[in-house]
Amino acid sequence: MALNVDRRRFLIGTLGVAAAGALSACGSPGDDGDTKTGAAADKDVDKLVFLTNADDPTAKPISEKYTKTKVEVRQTDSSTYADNFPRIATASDAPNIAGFFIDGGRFTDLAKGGKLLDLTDVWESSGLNKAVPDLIKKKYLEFTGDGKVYGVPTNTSRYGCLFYRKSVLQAAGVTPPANHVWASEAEWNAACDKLKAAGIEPLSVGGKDGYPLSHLQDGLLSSVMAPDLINSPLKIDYNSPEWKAPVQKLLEWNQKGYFSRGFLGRSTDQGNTLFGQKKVGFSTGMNVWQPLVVKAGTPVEDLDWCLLPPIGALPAKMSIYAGGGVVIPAIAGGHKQAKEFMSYLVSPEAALDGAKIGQAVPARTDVPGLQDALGPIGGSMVEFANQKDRSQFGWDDPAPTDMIEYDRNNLQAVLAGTLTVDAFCAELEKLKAKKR
Amino acid sequence: MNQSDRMLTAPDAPRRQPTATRAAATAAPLAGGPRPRRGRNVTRSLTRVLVFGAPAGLLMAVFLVYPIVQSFRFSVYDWDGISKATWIGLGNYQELVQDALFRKVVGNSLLLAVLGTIGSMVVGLLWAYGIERRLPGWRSYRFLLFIPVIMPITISALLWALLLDVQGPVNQAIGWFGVDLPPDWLGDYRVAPWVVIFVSIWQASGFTMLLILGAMEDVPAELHDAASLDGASALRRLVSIVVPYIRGTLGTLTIVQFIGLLKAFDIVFALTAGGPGNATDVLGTYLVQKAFAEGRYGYGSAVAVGMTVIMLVVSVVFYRRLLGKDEEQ
Repeated sequence: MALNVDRRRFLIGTLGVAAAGALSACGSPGDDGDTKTGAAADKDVDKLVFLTNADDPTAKPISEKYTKTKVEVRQTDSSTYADNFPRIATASDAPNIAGFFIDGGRFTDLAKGGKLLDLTDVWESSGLNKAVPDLIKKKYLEFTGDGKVYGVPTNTSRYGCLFYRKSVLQAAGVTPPANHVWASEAEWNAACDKLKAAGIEPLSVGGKDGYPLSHLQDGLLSSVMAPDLINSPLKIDYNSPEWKAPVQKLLEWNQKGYFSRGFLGRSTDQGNTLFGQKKVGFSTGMNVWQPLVVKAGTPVEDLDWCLLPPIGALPAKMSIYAGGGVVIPAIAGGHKQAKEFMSYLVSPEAALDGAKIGQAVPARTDVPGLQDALGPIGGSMVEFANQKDRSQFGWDDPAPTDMIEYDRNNLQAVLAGTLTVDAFCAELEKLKAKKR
Repeated sequence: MNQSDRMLTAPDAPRRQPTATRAAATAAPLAGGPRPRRGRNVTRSLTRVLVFGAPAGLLMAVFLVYPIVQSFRFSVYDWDGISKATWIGLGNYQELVQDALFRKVVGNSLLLAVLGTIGSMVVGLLWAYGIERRLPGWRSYRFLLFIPVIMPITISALLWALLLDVQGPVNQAIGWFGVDLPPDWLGDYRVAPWVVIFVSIWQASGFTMLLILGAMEDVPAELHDAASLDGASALRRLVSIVVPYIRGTLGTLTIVQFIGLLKAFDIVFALTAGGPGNATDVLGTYLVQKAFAEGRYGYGSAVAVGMTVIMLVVSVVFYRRLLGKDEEQ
């Protein structure tokens, strides 16, 4: 019997079957219903999966000390973690507990949609309500504005300042700034010029990664714009001289040759390596976090830090990032166990371990012996940040995600010479107008 | 059977039904043969289509049609990937048309695809010809050239990023020749796009070399011998005999390479992350930036649809220009 199916008919039939199947599976975007948080999700689990980014050296050793439930630590690429977080937190194999960033409220809709567990009880039971400074607590409360908290802060980061190698500065005849603070911009310029004269490039930064440049911008902005305004990104006039000043200053440094040549094509790790090789005087590190710089070849004894120079009428300040924490994806099981483990993670005992192992600075302030555990660099930074008017939250914490992303990507373009400062700032103003 | 006979009975030949047979098949019922029971045959053929087509159809539905349909649907919404989407009609497409950066990214992608394809085809052709002519050391030469193909692209890109660092080995070597200020390969917006194109060619040439070499092995030795007797040089034989003979393979490879480079993502992302600024951003990195980093799934989907349309147009044009003539013949 001859088949009456020619190629064309077969293809049409197959495509028809495919299209019918595909269309029948289509739902409306965002209409996938609420996360299943029923009995299954509340059942106890044999082990807790704790997902965090690969740069965190503390997660494994701290989790290993926890004995109540077995904890499996999974670490993933830090550069794409935040971008992947919505899928991680809503997937059927979501971890029981996951690292999280509060940045710009980029995951607020996730919490509002019931995808993250309310952790108000963890804050209370683990004493965070009393131990965490009000400013940080406010950030978590403002995350959704519904009076609940969906994340628990595990650590804070310092940025908008620089590491330097004492031996390199000494060899170039540069006197480090007294008490970590440059008296003036002129003092900083003189130091950079001396380094250059000695054949050493002044400043290493991993410009390929984007955010280290915006950290420099934040640090410089602190001496130009009042903290209240920096923390209200929708009130800033992005065409104002105040906002433009740090961007113009970075451009000026680039033109003067203060950045190590090739910095726009270099990652943070590569920038740290250059610093480790004594080829540059200063480095931004990553969030000015000692372990990565030490890992890249700089001995801790040769290391010290300073603020960025003041470029305006206000004193320069250290920027604080307080948005690093952990959450519980609602879809995963073992909520009770995850909350117990979470309470342990933010306990003073674990905080002290984190400080000893990875110089991680906890959000809570009631940790005895913290400064000693952090060592000379981390300890002095925390001591400095605790002084009045010496630290503040940066712009990229409360700013909307698209504005942050635009800023990060296009600071590169400004420094590469393909975008003018005016056009860069005008686009931010346009993005702000959309949000309003 | 000699080489010429083999050509006549190429794999394509049996699939083509002779015109006379087709005419006879069409004419048979008119010539008084038994009248086919059309309704029953249609039902039977439909059943067969469903039975045989369902597995393939299901796979296509899940992995091809569904994502395409969903991308198109998402593209008419303002959606962050989490909360409820808002219908905005063609709003994303309007923005796409007005987006100067998108136009730049399309330009970058086309530049990479055109130059990357030409480069990898020319280099692959020359390497393959050298191996086919059994140049000294051709075996190790063939192995070495294929290494970039089997290396993971991200590893290749990271390797090149280290080699091409301003203070890396390449610039150190340039420094030995007395160049005080060697190029900033990945940090200078005027240089970085060319580096991406170069690394893409390096990465792809082994693959093109292998396929072209396979096609070259089928070129009859007699043609080479005859041309040699006529005094044709190696280059002349490559241009006048080999290239016309393997035209079909070259055409197919060109399309594959072009489309592959047009949707490049991994090599650019690992090498420059689209920077400095947006100097090396291509459609793939731009899409990921918009959809995932900025959380604009709707706009990212519009970029994906735009990318699909561009690739479809390019594929059809290429197919007609490069392969259409062969099919007509």
